[in-house]
Amino acid sequence: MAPLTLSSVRKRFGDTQVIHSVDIDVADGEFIVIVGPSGCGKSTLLRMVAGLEGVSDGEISIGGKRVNDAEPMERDIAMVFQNYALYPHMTVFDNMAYGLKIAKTPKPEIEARVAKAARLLQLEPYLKRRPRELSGGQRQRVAMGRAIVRRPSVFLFDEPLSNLDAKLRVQMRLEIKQLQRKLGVTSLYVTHDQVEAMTLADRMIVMNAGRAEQIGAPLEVYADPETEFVAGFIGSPPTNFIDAAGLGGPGARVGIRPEHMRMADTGRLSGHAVSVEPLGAETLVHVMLEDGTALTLRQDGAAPLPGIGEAVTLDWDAASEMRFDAEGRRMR
Amino acid sequence: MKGHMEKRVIFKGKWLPLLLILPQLAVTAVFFFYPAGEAIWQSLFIPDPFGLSMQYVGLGNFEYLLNDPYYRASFVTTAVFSVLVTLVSMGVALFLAVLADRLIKGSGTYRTLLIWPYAVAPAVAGVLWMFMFNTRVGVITWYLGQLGYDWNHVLNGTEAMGLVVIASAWGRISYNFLFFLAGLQSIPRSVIEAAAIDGAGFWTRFRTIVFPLLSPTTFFLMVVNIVYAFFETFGVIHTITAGGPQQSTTILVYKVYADGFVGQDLGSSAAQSVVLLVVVGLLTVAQFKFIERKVHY
Repeated sequence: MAPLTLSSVRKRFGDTQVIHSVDIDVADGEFIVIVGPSGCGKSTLLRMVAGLEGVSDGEISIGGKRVNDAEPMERDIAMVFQNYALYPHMTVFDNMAYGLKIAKTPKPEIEARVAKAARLLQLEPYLKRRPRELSGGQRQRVAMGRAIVRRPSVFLFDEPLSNLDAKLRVQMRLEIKQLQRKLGVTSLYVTHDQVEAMTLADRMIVMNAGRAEQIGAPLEVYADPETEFVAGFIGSPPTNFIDAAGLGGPGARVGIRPEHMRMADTGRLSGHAVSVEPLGAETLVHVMLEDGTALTLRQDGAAPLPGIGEAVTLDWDAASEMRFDAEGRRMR
Repeated sequence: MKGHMEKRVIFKGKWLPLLLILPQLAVTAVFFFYPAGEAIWQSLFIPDPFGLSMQYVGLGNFEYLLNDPYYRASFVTTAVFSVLVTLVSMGVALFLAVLADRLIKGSGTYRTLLIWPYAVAPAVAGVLWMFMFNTRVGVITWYLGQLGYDWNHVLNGTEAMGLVVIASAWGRISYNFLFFLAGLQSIPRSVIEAAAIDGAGFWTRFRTIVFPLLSPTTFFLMVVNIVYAFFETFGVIHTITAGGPQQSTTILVYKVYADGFVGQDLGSSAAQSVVLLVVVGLLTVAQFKFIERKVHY
């Protein structure tokens, strides 16, 4: 358990810079999620913290100690990989005990620690099995167990749930969250799934093209995006963007969340309904404006629905408008 | 093997499959079953030196062989030789493969260069090594002489064995290297990384993760290399030592040749072929039965 700091961290592969000066301060015991589209550099950043990739510039410190040049094993971290990376020729017990054996932990203590982790993760009946005899969810748990038994200062998660089916993913998400709370270990979690990020994070970092676009509590980021990218990436369905020229006022583009847009008798925009998705509690209405812009409205499931092709007029409260300049930065 | 459901396409009909495996069967029959049968048949007779008549002796040839101290010595020589060839060629190949696996730039060139020796025929490899170690003009012999070592494999049996082992293993390294490299590259990177994070240094990782995961490859190569050492090293031995000095490099397959074609003792030679056939058959079965069980994970 230790704070983790990244200051002006950069990564170059040859002439290509993939991480552009990232600064993060992770408090002791905090759960930080790095979220972004594929290729944004989030996994590279995590691997740099793990020591699996070198740092081109800047400094990474764990527990106040600079670790730039430390080997992975010297950093007091544990990592859960996307494909679990279990040792296929070892039993579940040996998989979890591997790090402890190398650290020359006394045998009774190894057994006690593995037993405790197995109990915590409901792996007790499987300790003698090999990874290939386990289901995806069980393998995931073994990978977690391997990380837990070593009692590291920092947990690193590299898209640990992306190989699981949707139902298991939701369940494991909850378990990871509860486990992290219980153990209180500083955690860095990488995902491309913004729902995972929203539900797990104490604070989240939205990355795009090697830059941390915004760092903040999930709801704060959702409610108050700093950039057009963040507004578009966080939230499902994504924020509607409209050319500001047609609406007047400052900026290049205006963003309005689907739930903030409504059909009204008189409004600032007009178009026609192209499709309707009733989801039960709510309904998504897809509207095409005259200039071809596609918008989505999220409305209550009980609200009246427009017919397909029917002309609709749209309006919203001025307070829910988010204006962005030509570079995509938020204007306040 | 539980939990494995395999879907197979099944073709009906008898004649097409039979027709398709016929060439293979024909080749096996002409080049294996017929000569093997002939060897078994001949091993029961003693022909006269001119091949004009044969006398039936039952298992007499085998009886004679088992009581022949030279033949028993040849067994030991073969065991030593094949174990050494296998160890050297696999050891060096594994070492080179581990180095190549760590290489990122130029690994293609490195690999191509390492594959070349495989294209050299055993007899040519034998001549190559024979020249380098030639007692009068060999370049390595000269260097060894400078260091104060008097190399003479023509007189020294241990040196002769060392030389044929090196020459036989050398051509084999390429082949083993390719398999080891493929094996190493099929180990997921993340497993190695997980071990590194778990605190394992390079050697610990190699011992506890990489080598066990390579065991199917290692096992396969072991079988192939032993069979190679038993049979395909004839050319090397023939060109370098011709089985000498004092039979110190006469492995079983060379003795078959020496007794049969040089000594004209065709009955004994045939009996030796049969023994060889049985030994290799048993060796392979034993290897697959007992060792294969341990290498699966």
